[in-house]
Amino acid sequence: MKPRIIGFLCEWCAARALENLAFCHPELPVGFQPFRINCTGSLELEVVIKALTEADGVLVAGCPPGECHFREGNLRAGLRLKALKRVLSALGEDLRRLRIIWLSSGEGERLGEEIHKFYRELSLEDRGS
Amino acid sequence: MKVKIFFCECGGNISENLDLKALKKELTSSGTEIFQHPFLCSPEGQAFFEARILPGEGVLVGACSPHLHGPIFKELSEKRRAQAFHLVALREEAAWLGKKGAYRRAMGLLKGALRALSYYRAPVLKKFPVTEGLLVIGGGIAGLSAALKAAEKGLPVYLVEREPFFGGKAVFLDRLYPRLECASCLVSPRLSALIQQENLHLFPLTHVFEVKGRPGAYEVTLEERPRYVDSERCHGCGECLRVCPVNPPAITMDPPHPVPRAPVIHAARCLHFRGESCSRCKEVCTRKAIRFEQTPRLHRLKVGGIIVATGFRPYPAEKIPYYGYKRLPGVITLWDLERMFTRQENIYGFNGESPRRVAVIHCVGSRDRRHLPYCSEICCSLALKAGILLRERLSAEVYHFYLDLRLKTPEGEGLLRRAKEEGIQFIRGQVAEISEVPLTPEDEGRLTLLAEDTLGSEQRVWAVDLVVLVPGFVPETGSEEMASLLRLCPDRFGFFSPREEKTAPVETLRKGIWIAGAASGPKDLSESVLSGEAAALEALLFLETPSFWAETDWIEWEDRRCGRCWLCVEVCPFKALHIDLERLKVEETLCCGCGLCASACPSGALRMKPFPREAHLQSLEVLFGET
Amino acid sequence: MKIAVHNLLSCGGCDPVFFLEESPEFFRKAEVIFWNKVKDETLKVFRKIPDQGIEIGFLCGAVKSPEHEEVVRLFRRKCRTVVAVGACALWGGIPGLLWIRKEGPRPLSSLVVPDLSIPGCPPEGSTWTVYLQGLLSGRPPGPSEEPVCQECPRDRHPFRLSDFKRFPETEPESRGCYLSLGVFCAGAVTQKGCGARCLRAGYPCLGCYGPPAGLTARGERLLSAMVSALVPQKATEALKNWRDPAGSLYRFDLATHPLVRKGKCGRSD
Repeated sequence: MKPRIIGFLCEWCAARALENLAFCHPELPVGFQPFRINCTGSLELEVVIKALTEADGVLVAGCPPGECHFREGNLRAGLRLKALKRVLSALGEDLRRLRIIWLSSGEGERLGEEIHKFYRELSLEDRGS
Repeated sequence: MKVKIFFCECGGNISENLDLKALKKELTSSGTEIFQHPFLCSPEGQAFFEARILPGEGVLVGACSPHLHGPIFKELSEKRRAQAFHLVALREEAAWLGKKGAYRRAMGLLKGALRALSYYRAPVLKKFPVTEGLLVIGGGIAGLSAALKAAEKGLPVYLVEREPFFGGKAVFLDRLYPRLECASCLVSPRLSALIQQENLHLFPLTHVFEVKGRPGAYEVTLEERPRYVDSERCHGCGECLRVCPVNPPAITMDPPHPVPRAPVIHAARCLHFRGESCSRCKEVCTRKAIRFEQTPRLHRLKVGGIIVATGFRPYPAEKIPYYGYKRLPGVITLWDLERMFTRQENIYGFNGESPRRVAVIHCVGSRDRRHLPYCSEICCSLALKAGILLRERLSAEVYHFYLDLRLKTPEGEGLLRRAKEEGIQFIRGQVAEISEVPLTPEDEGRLTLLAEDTLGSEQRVWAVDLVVLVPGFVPETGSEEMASLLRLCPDRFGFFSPREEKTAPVETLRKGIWIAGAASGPKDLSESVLSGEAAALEALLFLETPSFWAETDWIEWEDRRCGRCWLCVEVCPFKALHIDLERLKVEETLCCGCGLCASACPSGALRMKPFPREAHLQSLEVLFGET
Repeated sequence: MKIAVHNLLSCGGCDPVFFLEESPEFFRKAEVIFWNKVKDETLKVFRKIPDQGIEIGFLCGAVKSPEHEEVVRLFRRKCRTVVAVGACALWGGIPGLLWIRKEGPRPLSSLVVPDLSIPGCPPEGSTWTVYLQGLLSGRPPGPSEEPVCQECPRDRHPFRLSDFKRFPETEPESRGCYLSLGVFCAGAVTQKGCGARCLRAGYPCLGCYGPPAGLTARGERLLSAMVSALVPQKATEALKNWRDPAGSLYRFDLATHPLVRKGKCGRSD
């Protein structure tokens, strides 16, 4: 399977950050696939698991603490994903495959860096297509 | 459902980075009809788009970010009664992220969206009636500007202020940047106008106790604390202020231009309320306006909308110990200074004498990760103004310690020149410490100020008599409670976030609630007035229509799947869910469709519109299955 | 009517022998060709039976060894109707928890498609009856969409949690929904049919009847619910103190977890 990272991007911050980044025409890893969501709080763990089963890495990018457009979606998402990580580690899953970052819409460059970093850390680039 | 795909070339932005022809070929093979236009957002492109949609079809647009023209395409497809609509950002999420992965990413987006569309369920457009009253929370300059404009147009307006007097921070400013005009001369006519407006109802000493209902029909409960003075009877002669035996007086009328023009009794200090038989104020009052017997009163209102103008407050300088505020005499804040100016009090330095040398310290707490990791924008001008007044009124030597000078308006630069011409010194650097240990024996009775001079690249020490701290701003106390009462979204610093920072600055994510003034971030007087009036305009537009349409029905609840744990009711950040006879009810106008309830529901009884979880799962499925 | 019964990796608790009283007529008329607990037959005999030669084959337990696999395939071939009985056969059951050590048993459905799946660990007598009668009358029932909560007698109100609890840490006299007490009660993610037996006896649901029809990722759903109920200030502490995540979420169906099926998890130590 080709190396793939699925990026769940919150509509209000990360998706906009990616748009800002896109204006600079970056060269993102080929296997990175953006996936817009309404809010990280609406992201069901089932969807994350589904992505984890199919992809090599899953990135969840939401708004910084205290900045959710829906008051506390990111807070809840943060806790749920933290709990999910505990479960995954109990299942013996490689925790590096699930990465959670918080960033605001202006941090496009950081998003780009995080994606590249994630790729490197999963050591996917050598296997990459 | 038949789905039609529309590609926008975006004048080459998309078509030159992405092989649309190949995409078309691959997607048409699955039986989908595809159209392409060089500029789908142009009037001609829109017409092209509209003409090709038939009722009942699904529409998938591959163009730029949904934030840009998404609403237009959605509206057009709704106009043509399309059954489902989806837009993917082919430009930002594929074409512009690197040519190598563009095709693959685009294919993923399109196939995922096509699959998701088969699960699309449209939210319902509904009509809701609107009550015309307006509640304005906060009687500072922003709130009263909003209230005045709305009342002028004839709306019943209820202006609530927590403090005994209206006017907020502005009434305690002495002069205004940049022309050094008299602040109260500008503010007081607006305050007077408050009393003259017939349909404007004033609630001083009042806080919002409860907010129920929905946009267009809020039920608000206010709690008014007793003033112990009948402001209808009182004509503000001030006789009572002079006879109060307590120090500081228990009956006060602080602002230079008090509205309402009636003093307030502070029960905590008043001898009468402490069990002693004092009633001197009552005895001296010829209007018989003193009312020791007053008790808190509840007011219940019905309003259609709410403007939140709760304002800001200076960061508490005592939180930064090395400045010595509240510890060292002769260290005051700008707001102490403004108050002294407005009351024409004498200003004393560290040794109790009129200060000969004054340090004005900018950015107190500002741009500091430990305190306020941001710039409050307006403090530089406040500081510059204060320095000039100190120079001109006290003939003191003035030193400004600043990090960067940010002077707004074209006149700002002129004021800076004036300051420099008058001999005011500007030192670029952070103050490290203020101490009472004299620099040299001759400086006995002066404060020692240690600062870095980044332009001179050295540490320097000054002996000064008075230090004026100019702190940055934080949201006013109680903002957090207000946010949870109204379910507003604060930013990470506690200021209220507007719906769109740039293009909808006074709207909130909640219909029927607007923000004005410094509640959404530090603002100077003119900006506060501006945003107050802008909020009033938004409120008028909303409240003057008898009803509004809103997309509702974001949540689908399946009775038979529900286990009645009612966790959804608890987790809803907008309190939009409640239980009605063992059934889940959604308050349509409160629900924002955030999806937190559905993702928390254990039994899968809740599903979101337009795309339920199956749509996401299936999109992922094709994403990985196909590419 | 010719029937065959076999226990794979199983504690034997759902062996049809326990349902003799539920369906006396059925068992009296049945001609038992093979019942590895009743008749000491060997597989050899079973292999000789012509394909489709048996009316109903009951399989209990999960699949672990190559022998198990052979039996399962034989059953599919020899029996016109294959009935999977119990949580182990359906989802791997308790032994499925072995998957946290990288290797565990698999459910029947990973090899063959059963014609009827009777849930439970073990199935209630009433469930057995309903499913068997359904099968015999040509209308085999499937899983219900409704959760156990609909049969649960406990009180329910909106709630917040400051901690997760295990059953022994709860107050015996509390009448509230176990979720609201902080216990990972599986009722909300389990199909009804058992009559909420455990809950009526004062014990939280373990989830042995499996997910309601159409509900996927029940472990994650339960987790998401419980974490969503946590008071944010207490959440870190609560998560730290949380014991046995796999057991609380996937007690009967870890073997069917997508990550397990994809071979993406399992700790070897």
